[in-house]
Amino acid sequence: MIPLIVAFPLAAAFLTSILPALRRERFSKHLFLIGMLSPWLILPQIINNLPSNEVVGNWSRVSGIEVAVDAYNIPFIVAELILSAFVALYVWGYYPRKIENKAYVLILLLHSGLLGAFISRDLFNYYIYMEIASVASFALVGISKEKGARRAAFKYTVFSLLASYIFILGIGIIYLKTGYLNLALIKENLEMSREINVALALSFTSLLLKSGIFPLHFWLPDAHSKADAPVSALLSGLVVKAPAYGMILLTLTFPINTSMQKTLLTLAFLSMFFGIAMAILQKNSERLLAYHTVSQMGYVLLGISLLNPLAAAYYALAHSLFKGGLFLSVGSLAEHYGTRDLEKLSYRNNKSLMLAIVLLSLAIGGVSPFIGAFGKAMLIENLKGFLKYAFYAGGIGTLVSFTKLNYYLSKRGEKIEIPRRKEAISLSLGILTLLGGIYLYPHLSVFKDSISLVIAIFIFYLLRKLGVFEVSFKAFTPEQFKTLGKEINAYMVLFTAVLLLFLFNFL
Amino acid sequence: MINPELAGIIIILIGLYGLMTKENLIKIVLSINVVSIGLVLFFIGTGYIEGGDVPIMPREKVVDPLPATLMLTTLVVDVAITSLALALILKMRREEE
Amino acid sequence: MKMSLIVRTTTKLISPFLVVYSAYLMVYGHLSPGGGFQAGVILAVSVILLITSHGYRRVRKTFKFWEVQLIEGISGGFLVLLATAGVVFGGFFYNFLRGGEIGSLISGGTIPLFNIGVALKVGAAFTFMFYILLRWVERD
Repeated sequence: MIPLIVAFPLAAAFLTSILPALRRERFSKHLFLIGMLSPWLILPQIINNLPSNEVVGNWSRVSGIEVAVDAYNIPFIVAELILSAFVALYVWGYYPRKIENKAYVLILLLHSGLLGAFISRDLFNYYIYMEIASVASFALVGISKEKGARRAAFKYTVFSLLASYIFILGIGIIYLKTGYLNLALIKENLEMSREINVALALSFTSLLLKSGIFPLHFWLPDAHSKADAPVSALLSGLVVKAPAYGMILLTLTFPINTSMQKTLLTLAFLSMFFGIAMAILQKNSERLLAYHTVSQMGYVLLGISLLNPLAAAYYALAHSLFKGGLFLSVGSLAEHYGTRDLEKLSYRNNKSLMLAIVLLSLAIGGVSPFIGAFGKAMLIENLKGFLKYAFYAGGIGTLVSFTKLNYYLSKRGEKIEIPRRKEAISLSLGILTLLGGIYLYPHLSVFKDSISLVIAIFIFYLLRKLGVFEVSFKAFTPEQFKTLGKEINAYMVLFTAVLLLFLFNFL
Repeated sequence: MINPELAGIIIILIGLYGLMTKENLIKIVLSINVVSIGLVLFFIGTGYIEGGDVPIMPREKVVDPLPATLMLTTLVVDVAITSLALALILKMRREEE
Repeated sequence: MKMSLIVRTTTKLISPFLVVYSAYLMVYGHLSPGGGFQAGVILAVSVILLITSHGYRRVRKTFKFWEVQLIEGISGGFLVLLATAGVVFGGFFYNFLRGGEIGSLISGGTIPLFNIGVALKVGAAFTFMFYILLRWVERD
């Protein structure tokens, strides 16, 4: 039964793609919605039989492809289904008639690719589905209205594709040494050797690039900020989670030695603080949110490097809900104002969007009854000493940056009309983060949260007085390079350097 | 003696060199293709057995069919991405004009 | 854009044979080297050869844009539905038509059907990609 959650959206994608040839384009909306929502029909059965696994086509495990649902991937699947359902309702009628059908097909392919990646227990099958999702997302970034979107999409395509090839090289070495691609069988027949370490270094580097962790994050802010609002929500909320799931699969299968663990831990903290520092300096609303994705993926990597995959999975669930909601709500404001400049946006005339953004900001800051607090509580269990304080500092940094967002948005602005449906979707995602948090982790720590909020607001006013928000900062933007070719060359050297670093580190 | 796996890795490195030094966007796409060809060679090399035959049922010594099958899938991805990247280049050129 | 008479005549002669070869690979894919993907590529090459020699405008009149799109989508949908039909008999992608002695044409069960679907899908998709890129280039 499990593969059916991939089959329905995939069939809907193919059927939607033939509608223009039959001159029935007006039905593509309906078919799209059916395809996006159909996996919900199978979800109750999957949850009832948890954990379950199945080999496709009733082959034996050695010769077939295994799919499974268990405690580690159910948070990913649930996050995917919830966020994609909201995005599907948001996208209904969003694109102009000319590209409507293509956008629907691409979003359906993205949906099925992500679901396929999240259920697979076979390295190559995982790669293929992740690639379906990535190819669809390159194209979705490319069809955006924003200027410079094509450039961002090209950069995203080149780096993501190179990372995939390096990943398959890693898979190839694993296959050469163990003779299997199925993770359970690899685990049974595993003998650690230098070659396996090389393979792990290659695959971790490429998955780190694909999930946008600090030194390899360079494609992420451009691609996520240039895309249209619903596509940004999908990219930030879900597409970067597929490589994170791959890392979880690898840590569950292979023994991770301490030096490797330390490297990943360092990268996680670097990514957290770098993302926050860059987000505080941004003036573009979408770019601010995109840098927060870099920082939040650091939290997910933290869970993976502490060998606590369950925490990483639940943090990924939390992140996809609030980041998707933030992109949708801020994106609808930006779209109706016709600009993405933070100074010109305002939610003051729009009470429900205001409520939604405040709720989601509290959730991303990890304030207690919200779902972010649950993820953070799971992550902090394994941290000791100094790292614990660094973790709290990261939480406060996130709150500072979102104080800034809310401060700019609460200024007075022109009056605009935003459709009821978009407001309702943003608001319901905001309420969902609250309800999900209460359901999963009913704790309330008023004292700690109010202290961190007060510190965050204090730091925000301090930074404002110091004039940090007026600084115009050109680093890590496409403008600092003369041509796109030069930019790609420079970042490629960086990628190769990180790859070599990992290879030396893991050997 | 050089074996196909080693040759594949050398070709991948040549592709990486191209990606690091060439500015022309079409050359970047071609370098990516060179990387993918090196990868295909590496995989086919892993499955090859000296004197092996076609892997269809009543034969004894056969080559490993799985790497070849996997590479077909990779080639499909490669074709899809190449055409997408070329389309993006065309569109970028048009925007610049 | 047209090429010389010799090229046009040769490609016209070769293309039908390529289609026949591709059909052979599709149907006998489970018994001999070959299979859906290779058959599809050869099918696409037969059209792409005609495009290079006769030009896009001429070929578009015979193999219409919407027909290629239709074949692509239908074969993709057919593959997924065939795989889903296996659920009724025991599992996703279950081979429910098994029968015949080993080595005969029908012994593959659903595998030849999958090969045909894949071949049509790949062939149509490659042709479609060429059409789209050429439509962009020829516009100016």
